[in-house]
Amino acid sequence: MILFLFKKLKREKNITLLFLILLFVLIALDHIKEKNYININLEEKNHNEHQEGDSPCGM
Amino acid sequence: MSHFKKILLKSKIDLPMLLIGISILFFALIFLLINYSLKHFLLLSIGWGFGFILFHSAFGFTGSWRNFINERKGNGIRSQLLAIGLAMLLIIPFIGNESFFGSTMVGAFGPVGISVITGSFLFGLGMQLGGGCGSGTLYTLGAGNTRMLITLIFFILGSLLGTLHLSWWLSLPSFGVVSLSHYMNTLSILIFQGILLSIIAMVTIYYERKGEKNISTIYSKTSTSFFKVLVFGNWPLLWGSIAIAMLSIATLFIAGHPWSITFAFGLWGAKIASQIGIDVSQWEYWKGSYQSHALQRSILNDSVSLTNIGLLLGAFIASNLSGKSNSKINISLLPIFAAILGGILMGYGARLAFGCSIGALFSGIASGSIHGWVWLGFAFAGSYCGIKLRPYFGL
Repeated sequence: MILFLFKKLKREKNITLLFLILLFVLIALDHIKEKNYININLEEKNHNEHQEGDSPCGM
Repeated sequence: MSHFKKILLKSKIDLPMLLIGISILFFALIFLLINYSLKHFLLLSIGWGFGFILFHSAFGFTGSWRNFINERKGNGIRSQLLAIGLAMLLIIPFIGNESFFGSTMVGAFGPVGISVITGSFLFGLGMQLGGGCGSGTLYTLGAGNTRMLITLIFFILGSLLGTLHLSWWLSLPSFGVVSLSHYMNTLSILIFQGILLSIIAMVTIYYERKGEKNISTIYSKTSTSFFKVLVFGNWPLLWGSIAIAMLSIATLFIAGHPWSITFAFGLWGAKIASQIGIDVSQWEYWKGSYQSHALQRSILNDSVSLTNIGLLLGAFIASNLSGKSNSKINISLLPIFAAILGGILMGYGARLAFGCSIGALFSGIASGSIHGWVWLGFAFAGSYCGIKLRPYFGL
């Protein structure tokens, strides 16, 4: 089994797929963490996350 | 047998991988629609479109700048200039208006100063060593290039370091934000920037002619059917330019800000750092309203992260449609060092320069911000140095 997996991980696209799966697991954990620890009231939930005058790359 | 079936049978599609990619995308879209909103759904879809287009048209800054410097082949650069020109036609006039989801649409503006000059130079240098810019790193990784995974990991690390030091860099001399809209009306900006973009295009043609070569074009007619090229790839650069411009305009109207890539890398790094006990929320950068808000909430609430994730998936699906083989990993030590160094330089540089070739160059110029032009000049100089260093890393 381990040998089979090792063999598979020698291929480039399989590494990309593994990365994508890992990324989605981390995103799911982040999503659950937000749901558990941040008490979002309805007003905030409906509020758009984009604040006026703010840009991710700009100032 | 139908024409569609014939094409499918003749193509070299990696069907299992393609189905996995489509399934992940499908479930992610449904998840966003149920748990988040239509806006989130659309942003992931746009990101998917970016990845698909970037891969199928091989639209990238790193390779085309290198082609021009090494071989005087300028069609890649001209396709980028066209995309920027088309995007600005609908971005500049609409900045300040309301987006489809109610927020005020803002441009990508950055200060003209030491920070942007240094950052863009480092980014240009890093992208030649790392093998791709912000979008290039994502789409080539999505298409199955393992070296780019190393570049991305260190890109994220570099971005995080950049967020730690940015306040110091911003304390160095700067003219502040210089927006062309302060000096001229919308039509004048479009004409002025259109002339500048055309001059650069003419310069590339001049150098290409000097090399006594035929001028490379961004469009050439092929005998392959439109459908086959559209789905399985090998798009003319012209298609890529038009499609990228249209999606970047759609990003502005949906997200409320122009297309950006590298903000998400810093955010992902900050999230990971928080998990291992580093309190990044105390860093000056993460105290900003947009940044602190993004840090507190799920990555799925960050528009830049959503388009990046979509971009990875889009490139993954496009590469499997194109029949790109699942080759064996074959990376030697020196190119790994180059990927590490390139990733760190790009990440750090992008934060100092207020974005990468997308957030600062593409979206900056398309917003009428002078820092986009400064970025272009210094990143090109950095790229020139990076190209000269590549042989030392076995590249």
